[in-house]
Amino acid sequence: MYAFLCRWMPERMAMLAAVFWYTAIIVLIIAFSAKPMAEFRYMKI
Amino acid sequence: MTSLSATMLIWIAATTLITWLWPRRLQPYVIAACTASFFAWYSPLSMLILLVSAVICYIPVVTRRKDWRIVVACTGAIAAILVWFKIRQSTGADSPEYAVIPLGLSYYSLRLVHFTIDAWKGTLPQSTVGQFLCYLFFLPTLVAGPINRFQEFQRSLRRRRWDAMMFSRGLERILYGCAWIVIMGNYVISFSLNKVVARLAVAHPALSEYLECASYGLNLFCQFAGYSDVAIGFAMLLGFTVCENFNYPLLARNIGEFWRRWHMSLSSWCRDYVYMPVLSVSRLPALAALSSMIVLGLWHEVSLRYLAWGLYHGVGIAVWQVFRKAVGNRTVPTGLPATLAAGAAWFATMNFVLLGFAITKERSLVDALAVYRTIFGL
Repeated sequence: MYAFLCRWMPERMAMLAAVFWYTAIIVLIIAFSAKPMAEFRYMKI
Repeated sequence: MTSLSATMLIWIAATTLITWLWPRRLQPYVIAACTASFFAWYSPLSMLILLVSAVICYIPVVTRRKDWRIVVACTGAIAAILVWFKIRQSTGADSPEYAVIPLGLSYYSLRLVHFTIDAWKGTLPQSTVGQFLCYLFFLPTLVAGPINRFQEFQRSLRRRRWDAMMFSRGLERILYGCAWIVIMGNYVISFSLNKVVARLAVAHPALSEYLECASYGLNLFCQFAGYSDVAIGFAMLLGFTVCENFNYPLLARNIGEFWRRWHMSLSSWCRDYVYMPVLSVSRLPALAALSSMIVLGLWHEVSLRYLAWGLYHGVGIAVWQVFRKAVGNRTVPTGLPATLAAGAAWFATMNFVLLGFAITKERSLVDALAVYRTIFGL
């Protein structure tokens, strides 16, 4: 993501944006982990 | 996430850390030891079966005899173990102790069959017992694929070295994999979309059933693509390159293309070890397609509904082959713009695939037929 962002904006800004992007995904994953889960059968075969 | 996934994340971190602390030549053995300890701790039965299967599979390599009877006996023994557990699982589905089959059995059985047949055919490069054990006891792909081949594993094993860029891409891949599983699969589709589907059930039963099939298929894609991302990312953390499992299958414009994009490691295994042998013996592409799709279906579960699902896709591919032969090089029907034809092909393929999920989504074929009756108003 950082390399991709570097193409469009200055390096420092790309670094900040990448950190924000990854933090947002981690926060979303943690937040949604509490929701009911689906059964995933591929782990059972 | 499931408890297994949380456990897996801890093992991913521990295995990666421990592996890179050791000298490079010992690292593959450290990975194998970490996998063995994970299996011994999480499922001792799986560990025992994996070891027994590995010994069976290595017999043709040790004997160095190009005897087809040994290969048939070894692959037959591996298939028998797999089928026995599959039948036990499908007949005792209501009893928890019978419903679970050894961890990763379906995946490593296919790897073992590949290793045995390729060793017999002579297409396997020179290898040591250590390399074979590292290939088999490779935690990233052992639990839920991709079904990687020994040749690519050995190549990766020889070339691997510490690469910060690869490590970073691996971490990113794991993160995106978790996002697919938790956000898209569990929340957006299983939780939110299913709530909408449930609300439609009374007023629009046909639409509700159709959306339920779509939701099941999309959830399966998100979850499985997510787990594959985690596996590929984990392998990258250890310095290995593993084959991809999905290549935008929801963009496929015919059923043959769909199976070249969906669960690619399994479909390529079926192509090499079922489709090609049947085709070379019978010279009938339709029979080869039917056989490989039946094997692919029964690999998921030995039951009538998965047999029917395999037949459904096998017939679909056979019809597509006949259609392609009839149409020849005329890819666009006359008078119809190419984009419109491509859109119609995509729509037909997606509906064929999504409606096919009704067979595996329901507990029996009778229930699946009831779903079709509701959707088509029969």
